[in-house]
Amino acid sequence: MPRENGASFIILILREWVYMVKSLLAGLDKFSELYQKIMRPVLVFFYSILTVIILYAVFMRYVLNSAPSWSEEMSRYIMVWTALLSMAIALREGRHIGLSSLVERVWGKYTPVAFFIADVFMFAFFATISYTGFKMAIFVVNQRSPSMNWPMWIPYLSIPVGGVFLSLESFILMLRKLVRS
Amino acid sequence: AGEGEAADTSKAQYTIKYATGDPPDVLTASAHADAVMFKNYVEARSGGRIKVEIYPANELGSEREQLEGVQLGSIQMCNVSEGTVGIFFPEILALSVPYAFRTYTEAWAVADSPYMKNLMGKMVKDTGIRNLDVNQNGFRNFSNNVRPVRTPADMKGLKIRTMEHRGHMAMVNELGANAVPIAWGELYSALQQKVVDGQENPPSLVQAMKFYEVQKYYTLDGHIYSIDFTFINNKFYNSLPADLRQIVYEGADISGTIHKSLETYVSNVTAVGALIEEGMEVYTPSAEEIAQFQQATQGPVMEWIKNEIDPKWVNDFMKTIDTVKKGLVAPSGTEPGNGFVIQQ
Amino acid sequence: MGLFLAVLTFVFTLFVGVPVGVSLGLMGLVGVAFMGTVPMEVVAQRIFTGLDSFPLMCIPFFILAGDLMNSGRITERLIKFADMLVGRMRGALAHANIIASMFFGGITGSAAADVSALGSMLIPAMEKDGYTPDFSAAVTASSSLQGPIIPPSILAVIYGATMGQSIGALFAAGIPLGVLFGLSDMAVVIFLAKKLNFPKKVLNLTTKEKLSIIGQAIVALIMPLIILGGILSGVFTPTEAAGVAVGYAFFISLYVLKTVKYRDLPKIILNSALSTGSVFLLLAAANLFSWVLSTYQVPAMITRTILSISESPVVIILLIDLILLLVGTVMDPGAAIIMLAPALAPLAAQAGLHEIQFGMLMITALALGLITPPVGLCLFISADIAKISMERVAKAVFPFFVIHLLVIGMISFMPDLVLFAPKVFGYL
Ligand code: NA
Ligand code: NA
Repeated sequence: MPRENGASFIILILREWVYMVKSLLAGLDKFSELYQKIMRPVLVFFYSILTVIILYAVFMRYVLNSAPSWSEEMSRYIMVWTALLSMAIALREGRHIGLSSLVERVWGKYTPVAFFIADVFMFAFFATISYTGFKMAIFVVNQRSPSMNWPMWIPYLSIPVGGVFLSLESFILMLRKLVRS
Repeated sequence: AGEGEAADTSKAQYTIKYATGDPPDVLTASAHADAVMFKNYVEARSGGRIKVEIYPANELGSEREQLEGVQLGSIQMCNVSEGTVGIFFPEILALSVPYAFRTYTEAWAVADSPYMKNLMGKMVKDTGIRNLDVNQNGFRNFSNNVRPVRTPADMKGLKIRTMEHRGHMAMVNELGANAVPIAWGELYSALQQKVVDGQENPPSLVQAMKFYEVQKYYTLDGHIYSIDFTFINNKFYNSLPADLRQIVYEGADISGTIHKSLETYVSNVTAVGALIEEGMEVYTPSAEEIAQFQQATQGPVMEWIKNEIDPKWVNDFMKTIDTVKKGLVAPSGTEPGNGFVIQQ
Repeated sequence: MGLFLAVLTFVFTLFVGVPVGVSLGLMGLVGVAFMGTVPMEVVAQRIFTGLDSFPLMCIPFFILAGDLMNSGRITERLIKFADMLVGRMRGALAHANIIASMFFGGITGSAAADVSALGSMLIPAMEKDGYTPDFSAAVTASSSLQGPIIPPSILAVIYGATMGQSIGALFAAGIPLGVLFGLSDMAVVIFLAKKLNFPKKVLNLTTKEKLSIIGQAIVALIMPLIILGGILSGVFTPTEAAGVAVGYAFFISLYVLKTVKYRDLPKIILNSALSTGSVFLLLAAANLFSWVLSTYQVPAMITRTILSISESPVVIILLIDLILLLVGTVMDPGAAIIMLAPALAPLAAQAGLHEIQFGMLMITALALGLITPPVGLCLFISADIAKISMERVAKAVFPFFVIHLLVIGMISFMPDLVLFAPKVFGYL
């Protein structure tokens, strides 16, 4: 009798847990969808600006014989931001290539376990990046970029911001696998 | 790394990672020779309590990254030029007044002056990066592939590659030329293919990068005396016991002498001769012509710098140069026209 | 110790399915953590400096220009044109597949782009013509290696940016070498044609039809002319040329060919942004690990070890080849270049390899890993399109692999083969 009671208690708790994780997942998913909705046009805008800046610099050098001094540095920083922001969306869309076929061959029916471990590692990596990136952005607060004289935290901030989104996405992946199992 | 083991450092209590951008060649690369000398001195004098690992050729990253690493503590020492320092400590811009120095002796005297001590003192307070020695990157000169440059008028309309340094760009633009920042790795082909007409670097680099193959005219105008600074992470320095701190300080001082001598020797004796031999037309402007360059650029660039930083650093810099010029008793061989004076 | 744990982390995380870029990053993270005295901020610093490079900006531009040009109709035109050139040979479609990759290589910078674009059209077409799916997938995968060798090349950009070498010189060297890779593929097809009884179809085109095919292809072929002509003649730096290529691709696809509509643009640009994101994650992580390697003084260790085996240039070069081929089988070639180029450069110099020759050797030898198991990205994609297992494609690709090895041997020991083109264009 007590054993049975215990078991049903555990099941009850588990149900409660699954429910909580599910609602957490739903909340995170909603947030992820929201920022991705905002981020997509931002990325397209950054990318387009990047093209315009380069073409403008070429035009200035050849037609007006004077190269703008800011174009290289600004486009570099925009590129870094574009790259960091796009990584999280790429993660959600499964664009970062891993050795999934090899994993399936090695792990067989335990493949979901392997992928779950992978998500934990990913989360750990992105969380570290966010943290160290944040510390670094604070560290360079007095540095100035050589040609535009911008404070260096502006480009460096891309790492913690991109890192937080990446952490979030990998956390969602993790929860999703937990719920499914 | 690993070059010139001087003492048994297997039980070293302190390890100094020392980064430079120079290739690992003690005979021509002055910053590398400096680092090797420093390593030998410090390891031997400390009886192996300090181990110095040299990372040449930007192995640990670009100059900006190296200095950032020293500030952070991921690297203990580095050797970088003033363009990089400006990113961390804008007051260094005061040293970028064009045509401020005419001779090496002037430059060396300013490097040893109380003014420089003050400036470096402010730097360690602001950034946590301690200067151990003020060294020499060389006098920067214009080269181009269009026409011989004798006066500022000849610069008009030339596209000149500069570093990403606002002071240098302002100077080039004041001369009526157009400053174009181009990545170092692309510079040779940019010159070769005439994306730009010219560039500005010391003779040692013009020789090392084989710019003579793609540039015809070289004008020894010496617009900037470029400095190589030896830096150490201040926290690390202060963590050393007093006797070791003394050894590190002396080591940097002594090896700095090698640095200056080697750069002076390479630029003045071997490089310029080699450039002429390779078919470059090397022109040494007269004192009057230099005065014209100075007049065209010094005032406006100085005003620009004073807008960027506390003007007192610029004013004191110019005062120091004046004092030095008055106080220097020209040793034999330093009069204009003789070997020791590069520009004239 | 730290280094060992770092490598262990890399292998383990790869085997549980962590994306390669993240595995590399974790390897770097562990390496830094075990240095003890080094502040962890260096992780963020290396990630930033790994991306903050003007030459690397070629990559997003070349990806976008390729994506814009890569709409179905342009691929179809290039295939038709290639088919017209070799239509009379036995195994025409296999040859056309190779030739089309040659043209396509002038538009895109990576092998994966080539394999998926050409493969999705050519593999079904070849199967319909009677080729086995194995062979169709194999020739598609093998010929796609021209993508990263013929300029524009993302790998050349990465090598140039990492080592401070002229990207233009690498592009110049890539033209004949890429064509050589293509020709060696064709040699294999010719050799197998009789044995496997490849179909010989008779294309009877009128002059008018031929002209129309040429005309249709030419709009696409102008693009490599702009990129290469612009760089090699010195009108543009590589990054500028890449930007201009995007401008041209916009113009052509929107107004001339009308293959792209305005409302498609955001989707195409976003797609390129995501491709850039996954490439750049790899580059950033590789830059972190390359710092770890340097700090553990691995380059000096490698140099010492190899020199202790032999000081003969031939042996050193062969060992370099071996390292590159082995690393290439498991590691993304771009990431491998960032980590290995600085570490192997002193050895390469010792053996008398010119920097550009060493670069092309790295690019070709590492790219060969794209068609070898266990990872072989191009094998994977082409097997996926042909709906057969990777093992079957790997078997069919073997003769191509062997002849590519031969070409890599030539690159290793015949400096003039690599350097004559950069010399012609005045880079050396
Ligand atoms: Na290509
Ligand atoms: Na192909």
